[in-house]
Amino acid sequence: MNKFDIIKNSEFLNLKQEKYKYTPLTDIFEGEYVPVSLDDRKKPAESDFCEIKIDDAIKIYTVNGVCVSDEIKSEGGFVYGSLALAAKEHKDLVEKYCNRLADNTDLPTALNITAVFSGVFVAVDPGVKTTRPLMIINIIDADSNIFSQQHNLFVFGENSVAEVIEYNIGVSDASTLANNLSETVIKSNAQVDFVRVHDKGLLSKHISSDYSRQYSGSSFNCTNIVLGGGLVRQNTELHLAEKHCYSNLYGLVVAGDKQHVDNYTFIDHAMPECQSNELYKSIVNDKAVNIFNGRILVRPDAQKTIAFQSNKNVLLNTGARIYTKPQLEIYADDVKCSHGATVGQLNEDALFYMQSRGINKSTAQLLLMSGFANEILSKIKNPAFQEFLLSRIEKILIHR
Amino acid sequence: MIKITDLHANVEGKEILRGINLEVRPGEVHAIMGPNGSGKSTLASVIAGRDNFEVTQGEIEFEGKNLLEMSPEDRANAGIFLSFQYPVEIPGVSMTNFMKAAVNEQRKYKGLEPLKAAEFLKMMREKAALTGMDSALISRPVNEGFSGGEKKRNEIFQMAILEPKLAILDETDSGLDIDALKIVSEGVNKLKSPDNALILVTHYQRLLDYIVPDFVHVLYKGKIVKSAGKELALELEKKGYDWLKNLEI
Repeated sequence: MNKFDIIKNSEFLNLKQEKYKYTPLTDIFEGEYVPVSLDDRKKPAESDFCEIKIDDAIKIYTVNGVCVSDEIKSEGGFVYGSLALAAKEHKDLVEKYCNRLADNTDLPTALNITAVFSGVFVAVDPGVKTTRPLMIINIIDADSNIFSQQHNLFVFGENSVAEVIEYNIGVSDASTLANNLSETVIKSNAQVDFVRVHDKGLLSKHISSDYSRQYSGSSFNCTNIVLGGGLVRQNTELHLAEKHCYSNLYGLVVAGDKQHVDNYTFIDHAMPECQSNELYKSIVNDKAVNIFNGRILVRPDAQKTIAFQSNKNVLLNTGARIYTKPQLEIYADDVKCSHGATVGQLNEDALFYMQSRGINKSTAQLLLMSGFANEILSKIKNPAFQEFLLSRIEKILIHR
Repeated sequence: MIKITDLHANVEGKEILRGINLEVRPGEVHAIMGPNGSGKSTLASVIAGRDNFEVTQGEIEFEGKNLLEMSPEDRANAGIFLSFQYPVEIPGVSMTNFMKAAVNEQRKYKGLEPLKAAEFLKMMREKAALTGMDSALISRPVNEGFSGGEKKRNEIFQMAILEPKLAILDETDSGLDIDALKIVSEGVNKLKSPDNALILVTHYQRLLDYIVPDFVHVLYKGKIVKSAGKELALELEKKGYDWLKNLEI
């Protein structure tokens, strides 16, 4: 038995977990996959990613979960390279944070931790204000069914400023399963803008477990966008470990066909006087399924917490399904919190209003949907990437 | 320009319009008055092509075309404009993108090339100045967070951009204070020409002090029960609508 078969036959997969109610682990791990060998290092082809044009971005690639770079570079304020190398060259940081933020009671996370470090290491030294965005392009490129795992570590030092984009694409005709893990440390007063995009094909499954920890006065803008992928499960956990953290967590899902997208988010308000805003939106078409399960915990010590959570969904037809579960658990008594969810169709009044100005119905629908998506895209700091995503989304919606 | 003959329309099985006859020629201003629930707004919506109204009988001819067979967007591009009683908020869609789409669809309908960005913006600025529209609102999402007066002014701003042949103003005066009413009316008056026509749907005579109609029609229980010159509006203001109850319909 290879490693994947061992997992598949593990009884842990059958454990009932509320968090995996609509996306059971047995569904995720169903199928035959061969684990990627770490020696099997591929170089990405130029054509694989030419579409995403951000001229000034620093780029780093992984193929099938393995970082392509064989050195640790220093550029534009970023120190970056493969995590495997960083384990030697930046031993202190890796030892201090790797596997420390992740929740190893989560099965995909625990599974990833047991693998060899294969992903990306990114650090910004204290006080450094990076001038260009760093773009991580994760490519899945396989001729046969593969199981890949990738572990990334991000360390943003005190008072640093950085912008990171992670783009997940696939150029494979085979079925693939990726189990990725990221740990992100945001030190005091650092300002970080992070965008993660899933844009793979229908034969791919992807689990992305992302754990972040913020320290006092830091600000974190995190945007998760799912456009492609047969099955995408994202666990996004944010731990506010000191006072005065400011977090924005945004999500956008545009799903059609038989896509299955599940966003689980957890914001842990452990300390007083932090603020979090969470907004997830989705446009769901055909027979696609979208799940939002958002949990905010305000611990007894976390007085003066401000936490807002909202989930807004648009169903384009009767075959599509949405499950939403906004949760707020408050154990402190002096807080300002709200949560809510909506599921609806495109606003008929707005459509008629546009038609009455001469705009044809399908253009009006497109304008409405782009407008709906734009509320999330407008939160992205990089204007070129914002524009790229908007045109990518419009393309998907036009061909719906 | 528009000729409505024996128009009957239902909403959810209930007959709201019960045989409307109305003809409007270029250059004319018609006021349609009447108590609540008489069918005024329904008539405006049916002309614009709202699909939750079912036309069961009659016809509407607009410049020789059968209007009832046209989609709402085709009606708009042929020159009909409805100023909404309750303008809709469209989050995420900026006024600029909204109007750019509308103007270019209209140009396509006429067989013209899309307007260049600079020309379009210049026109937006000119029309904003003409109708007293705050230019800061132009970059905002359509009607989102606009005050009642700003929304109504936005309708007239859109009318100025699209230059319709026939504009129907549905209760444009409602929710406006006297100052806002004056500004909106001035905007409408500036857009009047011998080639276009106006239908004003209103409860009150107030608006007609500012936009003077050539004809006033009283709509009651889905029919036009009385038509006369502008003096009828003054008479209604004095008498109210109670006298209608004694009419045999």
